[in-house]
Amino acid sequence: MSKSEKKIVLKSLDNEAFEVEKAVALQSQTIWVMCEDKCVGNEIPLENVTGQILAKVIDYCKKHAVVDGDGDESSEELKNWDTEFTKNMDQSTLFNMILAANYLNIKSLLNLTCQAVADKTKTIDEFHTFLNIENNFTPEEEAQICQENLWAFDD
Amino acid sequence: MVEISETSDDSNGGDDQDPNKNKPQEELQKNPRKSVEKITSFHIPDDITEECLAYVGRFHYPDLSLVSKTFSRIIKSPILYDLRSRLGSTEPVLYACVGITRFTNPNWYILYRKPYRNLRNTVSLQLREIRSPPMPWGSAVVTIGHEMYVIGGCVGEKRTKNVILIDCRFHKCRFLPSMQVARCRAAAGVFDGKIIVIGGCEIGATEWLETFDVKDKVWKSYKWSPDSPQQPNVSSEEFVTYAMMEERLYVLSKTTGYAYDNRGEGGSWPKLEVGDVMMSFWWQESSCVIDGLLFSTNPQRVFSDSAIIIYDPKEKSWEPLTGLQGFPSNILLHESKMANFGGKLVILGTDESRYSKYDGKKEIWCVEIALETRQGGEISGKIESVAVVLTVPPASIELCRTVTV
Repeated sequence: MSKSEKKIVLKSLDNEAFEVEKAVALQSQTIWVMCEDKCVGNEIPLENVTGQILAKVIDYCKKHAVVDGDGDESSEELKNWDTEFTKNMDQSTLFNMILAANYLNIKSLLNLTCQAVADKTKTIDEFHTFLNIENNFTPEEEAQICQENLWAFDD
Repeated sequence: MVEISETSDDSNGGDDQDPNKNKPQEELQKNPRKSVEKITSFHIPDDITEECLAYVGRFHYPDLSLVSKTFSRIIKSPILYDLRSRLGSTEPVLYACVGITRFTNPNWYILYRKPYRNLRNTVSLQLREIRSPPMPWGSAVVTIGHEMYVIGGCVGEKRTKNVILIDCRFHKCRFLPSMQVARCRAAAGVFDGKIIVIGGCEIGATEWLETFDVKDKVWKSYKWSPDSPQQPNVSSEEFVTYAMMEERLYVLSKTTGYAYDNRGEGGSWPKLEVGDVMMSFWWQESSCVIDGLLFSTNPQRVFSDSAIIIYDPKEKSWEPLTGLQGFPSNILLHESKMANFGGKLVILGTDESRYSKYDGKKEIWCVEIALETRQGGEISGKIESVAVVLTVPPASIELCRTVTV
């Protein structure tokens, strides 16, 4: 295999190009399938991910490509790295990371980011803000849910 | 990403200098939902919402059901709970069966770890009543995953054959096929997907043991016969308590202890042996099994001053649980109930006896104890929390059990 075949270029939605090792990129099932199925050459366009997010996804993949499969100590280190990785992400970045992990089909990153959302987001309002949705219940429907879970609401 | 376009041009002439200037703002206020739809240019797939919710603690679910219809639908679906098990994010949840008066049936309460809105990582502990049909007195209760099986018991003075299944994910109850005979204060345990129930029948009954296949939902009973090794009175024995250790069901009657071994030599009679005398002598109703050891309250303060003693079925010996600094001395140990709460020891107890003449309000206390094995095998308990979890009229705690949700 020549040197250039080991590398792959990922192109973001906003046309930012990232050259990465194939082993790094292939952690994404989506990219893996693209490489297998289509003759796309060395450049893979990712239409749903911005450069800013893709850079972070690549950081994650690089870290996990290097350390995966080593002993206990490094898996502990990896866990700490993961915690740090999501710790200071703002909600919009985290949200886009989830969408990217889902689109790129990187199971471990999806698990990690969903876990981070669960840790950071606990109240109804936080979820409304985070997911950019709003309460779509009628007062009657809301009362019905409260009734079903009376044990949690009877203050 | 956020783009609020204003293209409509339905202004009616207008006397303002620039009629369109404030339009988008106004529209935002008039119809916030419309503006949100515009902002959200992406769709959140249900399976992502599901995965985020699977990682959230169980006690947030009632609140989160109110986020949106999608959330409510997902939280009501068994798929979410399967995902929780797959991701390893299930939690132990404690339930207590509490009888308020002697004339009404006991009800189930959930130990609600209510998260404080403003203080992260802080919870208040409360026992909250859940909706369930009235429970009989003296039922035997076993748990499998998120399910509680409430077996037999007495309604008024009469024994019942009924078996109630409580699905603790949704707090839904339903009747399972009844046992073949009515039983109250029976002993029960779970072996390889089968529930075993022993004793508790009327005097003269011969069906001393019944098994329930959880998958096939079929009861099978075993009659006492002169060939079987049991004493004939086992079928009508009323048990104080029971515990599963080392694939054996240990049962304590008012007079003696037994051990039931399901591994019996192929095809032979299920066998109930007389248990270790030392074990049954100090074993109290308020007890539970953690990591293969039997923890029991120690109201007589034998072996040591410790409120709790531990029986090791391998060594056949009792040892005190050391540590326990700050254990509330006002709790009546002999009327308390214990449970294994995800490897921790939880004791629910009152400070006023159910038999006392006092008829005012009574407090139910909850003590959480973390366990640690020290060098030399000594087990030490650290009190993690002590809280009043329920204030009720004179009540008795029938039993408490932990499920995994």
